[in-house]
Amino acid sequence: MLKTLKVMAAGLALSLLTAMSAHAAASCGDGSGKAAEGEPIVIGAITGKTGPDDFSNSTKAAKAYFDCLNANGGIKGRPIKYVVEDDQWNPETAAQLGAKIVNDEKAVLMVGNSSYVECGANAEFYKKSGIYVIAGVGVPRECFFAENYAPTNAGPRVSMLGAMGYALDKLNAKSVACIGPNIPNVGTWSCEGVALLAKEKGFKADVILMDPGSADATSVILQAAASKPDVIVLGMSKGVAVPLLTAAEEQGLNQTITFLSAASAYDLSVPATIGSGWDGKFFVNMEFNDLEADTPDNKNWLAVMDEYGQESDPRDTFAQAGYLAARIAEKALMTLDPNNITRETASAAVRQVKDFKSDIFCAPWYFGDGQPRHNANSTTRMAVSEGGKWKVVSDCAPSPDPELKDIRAFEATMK
Amino acid sequence: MNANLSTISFREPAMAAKTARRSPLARLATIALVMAVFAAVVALGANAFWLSAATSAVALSLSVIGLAVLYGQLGLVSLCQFALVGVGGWVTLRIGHAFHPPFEVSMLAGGIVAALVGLVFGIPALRLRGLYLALVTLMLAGAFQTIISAWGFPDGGPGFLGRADGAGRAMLARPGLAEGPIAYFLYVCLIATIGFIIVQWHKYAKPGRAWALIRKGETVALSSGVNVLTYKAWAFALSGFFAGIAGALLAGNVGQLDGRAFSAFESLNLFALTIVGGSFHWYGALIAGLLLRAVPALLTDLGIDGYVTIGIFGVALFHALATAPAGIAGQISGLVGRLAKLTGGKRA
Repeated sequence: MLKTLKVMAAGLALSLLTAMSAHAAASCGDGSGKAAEGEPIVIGAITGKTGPDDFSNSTKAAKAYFDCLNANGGIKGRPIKYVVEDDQWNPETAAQLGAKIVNDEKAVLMVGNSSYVECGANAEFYKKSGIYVIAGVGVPRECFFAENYAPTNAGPRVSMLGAMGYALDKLNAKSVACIGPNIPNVGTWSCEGVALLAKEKGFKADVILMDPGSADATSVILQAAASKPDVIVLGMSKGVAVPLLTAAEEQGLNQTITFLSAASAYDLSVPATIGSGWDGKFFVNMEFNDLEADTPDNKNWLAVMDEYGQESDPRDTFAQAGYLAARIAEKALMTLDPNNITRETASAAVRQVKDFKSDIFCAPWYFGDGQPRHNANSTTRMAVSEGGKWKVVSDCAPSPDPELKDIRAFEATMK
Repeated sequence: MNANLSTISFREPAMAAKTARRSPLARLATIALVMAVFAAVVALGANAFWLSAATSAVALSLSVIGLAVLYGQLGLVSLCQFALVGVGGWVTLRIGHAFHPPFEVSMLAGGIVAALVGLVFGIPALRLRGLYLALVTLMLAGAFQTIISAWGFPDGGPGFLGRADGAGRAMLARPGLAEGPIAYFLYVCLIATIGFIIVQWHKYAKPGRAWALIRKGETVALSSGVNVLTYKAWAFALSGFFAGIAGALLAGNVGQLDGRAFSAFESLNLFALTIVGGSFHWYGALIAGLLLRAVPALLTDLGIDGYVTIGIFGVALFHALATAPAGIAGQISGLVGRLAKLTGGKRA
């Protein structure tokens, strides 16, 4: 009884705390508090909501920001009409929806996209239609190798190599086993990067690809541990990473091998779920700032989510990505004459975006006009599981992905 | 299932009598006419979203007409038809990326290989019927699901599997004379019309009569001098061929295919909707194709969760099995027949 009371008191205190922290007012648009009433500007997005995993957190956050923007003057008086479609993880549906948003809805821009299949299915079509995409979460390789498509996140490969770089520099790793999903252009692409870096720097790397839908966690972990690597790097979503870690702990491997993961396992619930056995033993890469960071833009993101999002919308790294995509779109559109916002002018404005600063990013975001591909977010942080929480352990460091040579070369010309 | 088959065969003589009133040539011409009107209406009226959905729907209706041969003509339940669509799509992409031939060549290759695989899948059918055949084919669909999720579909990479992991994926080019969305839709309609006519012709010709006899009972067929083995094998090959062509047309629509879209469940869904659409009339296939692709598209358009379609299809299947074993097409046919009788009565 006493225990229940204690838990209830703690819960009350917690909810009071969150209610108080929500008081920081969301800031968007001109901050006038006057609703935009002009002719709407159509912005589209495609997201993978129904399917193996719900990937719509990015568009939820972008929608919250656009709602906030519309309530605060919009784009110089014109509100945003945000059309979000669910591709159901099916390229055929993604293509249908791409045609719908671009040709039927006549969107001027796409913002906050996050899907496993959409980049592959639609990148060519977007290029042909002259529409630009400021995506939230790009996952497969196609999202980072398209002319009209620029995600705000770093991507699974850059993030995984960010973790790998940390293992080499700070954990003195000499050998690694990489575990990735056998999804086209996701797992192989990420682990290939680790293998490539291993070749360049002369350390040992094993690659294990698994079917995330039907895998036996223990056998995968034993297979990875068979070569006795110093570290194991995971490229799985948190739903798959947690069972892998549990299986590893059952085998006592958390005592001998350090585990790292790409940002896909960076979720506030993970450290408490895996328990104290992993304190200081499980590192994760972060594509963005600490979810609970006390910095102005991160606080504004949380305030926007509280005021304009649903209570059930997750406050996770994907939501940060969507929020940033919406803010970048706002910045681009604000440079235009509100009476002349067309696909052409909006595209030109997006191409010109550079030096977009937010404390959620490690480095300023830019589009990269004229570049054949875009990966502006390639500088990441690391955190470690400790006492049921993530503890940020590193400053922003550039990902050592060898494939980023062209990106680094372009960034050098910008300075 | 068997109970159903018997109800269906009771209805059959009436239908046969109705069809006999018009010459086969006129019936085949009707198919072309109806398809032309359908294609024109969609091409002129649909926006980009619906045009894309309709293209997939018509492509899939070809795989349904193949399944309708097996179920409607022979009473065989095959639950691996969507896997054969995948086989056709895989071969089309493989050939297309390896040799860059005209689309028609890759498509025919896809059709032929799917026909051969369909034939192999059909071997158990030479001995099995009913539930047992359904189980075996469902397992084959499951096997295909496992293989395709490991292999994926070719996308311009090297080697036998043709996977371009880490090197940028290529798209399969559409046929030269149908690159735009409307042109490709009309192209798919044309191929589907040819497919429908071929199947309809089979029903009027010798194979149709042989299949009818086989369905009555293999002993009956044998004693009437029908080569049961050949005609059953031919039905499986024909069914697989159209599934393969459907896969090729789907691959051409988007330029690529995804392994996750070819689960065993899709084969079950395809079979269920074949029954709902109606497996005794050619336009039942078109209806089933539209159900498979247009209903989810409609729900997406209305902003309803994609999972709801599964429930709707379940209800539709229950309705079909309970009240309309000849499917929606059967109900339309009945209605047309009644109307014709009414107008005929007035004239007299």
